Amino acid sequence: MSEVKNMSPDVPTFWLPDAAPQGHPAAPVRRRILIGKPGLDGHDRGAKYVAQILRDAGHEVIYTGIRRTPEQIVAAAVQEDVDAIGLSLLSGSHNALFARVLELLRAQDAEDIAVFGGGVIPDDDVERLLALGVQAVFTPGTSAAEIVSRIEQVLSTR
Amino acid sequence: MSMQPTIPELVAKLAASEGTARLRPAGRLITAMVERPNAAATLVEALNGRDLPRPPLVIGFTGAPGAGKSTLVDAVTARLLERRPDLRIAILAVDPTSPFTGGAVLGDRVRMMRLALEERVFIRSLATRGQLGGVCEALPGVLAVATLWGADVALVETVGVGQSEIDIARHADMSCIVMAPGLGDGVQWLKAGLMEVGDAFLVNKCDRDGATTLHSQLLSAVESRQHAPRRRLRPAPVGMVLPQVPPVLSVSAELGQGLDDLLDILPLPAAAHH
Repeated sequence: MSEVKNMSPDVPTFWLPDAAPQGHPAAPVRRRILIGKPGLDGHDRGAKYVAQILRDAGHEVIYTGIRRTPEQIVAAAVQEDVDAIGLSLLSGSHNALFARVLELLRAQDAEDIAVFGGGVIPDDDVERLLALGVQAVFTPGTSAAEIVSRIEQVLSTR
Repeated sequence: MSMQPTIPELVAKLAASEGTARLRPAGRLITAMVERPNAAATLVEALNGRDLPRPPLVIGFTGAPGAGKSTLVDAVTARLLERRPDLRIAILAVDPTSPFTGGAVLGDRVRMMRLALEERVFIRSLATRGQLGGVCEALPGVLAVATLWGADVALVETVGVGQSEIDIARHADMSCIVMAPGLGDGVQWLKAGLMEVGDAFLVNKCDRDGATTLHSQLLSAVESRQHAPRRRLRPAPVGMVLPQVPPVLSVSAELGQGLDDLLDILPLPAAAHH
C-alpha cells in the first residue's frame, strides 16, 4: 500500500477532479482489488462498473472477466496479492460459490483477503453470506459512493 | 492493520514452500518490491548480497492497444508449456495508472484465465504508476521475485504503446513488437523509436484484411536497414545470436497460427534452472 499522490507533478492539484462519482474523496491508501464473475451468468455490466468506480477512487483493480471458477479466482487473487475480492453474481448460485471462495482462501493461507459481493441476492441469503464471512453484499440500488466507502472502511481495519 | 512480514521473512517463506504454497509468498514479495522504499536493495541483501536475480530469458511484448498482446502472450505461453514441459513461465502484464486518481484497471488477465490454475505459470498484473516508458519502475525487482519463484522465462507485456515508449528494450533480452493490420501505412515503419528496438515484428490477426500488406511493408522497412549497425538498449545475453535483420512473422494468437514459427525464434534456455 502506498500514499496516493498526484502522478503528474506538472499538473496543479486543483485540476484534479473528485476521485469518484458523487464527490467521493481520493483514497487515502491505494488498494489492490480483484473484481470477478464466478459462475455461469455473463452479465458483466455491474462488475465492470464497480471496477471503474474503484479505479476512479484511486485503487488498482484486477478484472478477471466472466465465467470464472472459484479456483481460478482465488489463484489469481493470491498471485496478484490483492487486499480484497469483489464478486458479482446474478445467477442465483451465490451461496455455493461464495462458500467455495472463502474455503479456498483459507486453504491458501489467505484469509486476510476480504471478500465482497454484489448482484441480485435475496435478503435472507445476504444474511447467510455475511455469517459465512463475506464482508459486505451490495444489492441493486447501492450507490457508487457507498460501495467505495464501505470497501475502504472494511480494508482500513485490516 | 496487521504487521507486514519483512522482505527477508518472505524470501525465507518462499524458499521453504512447495507447489501452490509458493504462490502466496511470491505474490506478497512482488507487492513489497512495488510498494516499499529500497525494496530491491533489501532483497539483494536478503539474498546475501548478490545482484538482483533475473530469469534466464526475458521476452518483451509491446505494441499498440488492441494489437493482441495479451492474447498472444496467452497463446505463446500455452504452446510453450506443451513444447517444453520443463519450463516455468512468469507473465508480468503492465497496464496504465490514471494520472488523475492513481487508480488503474488491470485487465490483461481476462485473456489468460486458462493459465490461472497452471502450476508452471505465475501471472502478475502491474500498473505503470506514473512511469511513461511502457513498463513500471519496479520491474527489475518483480523479475527478481519471478526468478525466486522459479521462472525460466518471463514474458513482459507492456502497456499499449505508440512510438516512443521503449523502456521494455532496457529490460528484455528480446523485444517483440506486436502489430495488427489497419493502423498505419509504410511511412510509420520508417520512424525512429519503437521500430528501432524490435528484435522481432509480429503481424498478429494475420487472417484479417491488410495483414499481407503490413507484413511486406514491415519486411521492406527492416530489410532497408540491414546495413545500419544493429543497436540495442541492453546487451544481448551471452550466447544469444541476433539476426542482422529482425524476423517479421505473421501470427494469429486467436487461431493459433504461426505460433510454432514464433517459438522457433525465441532463444529458450536449454534446460530449466529451478
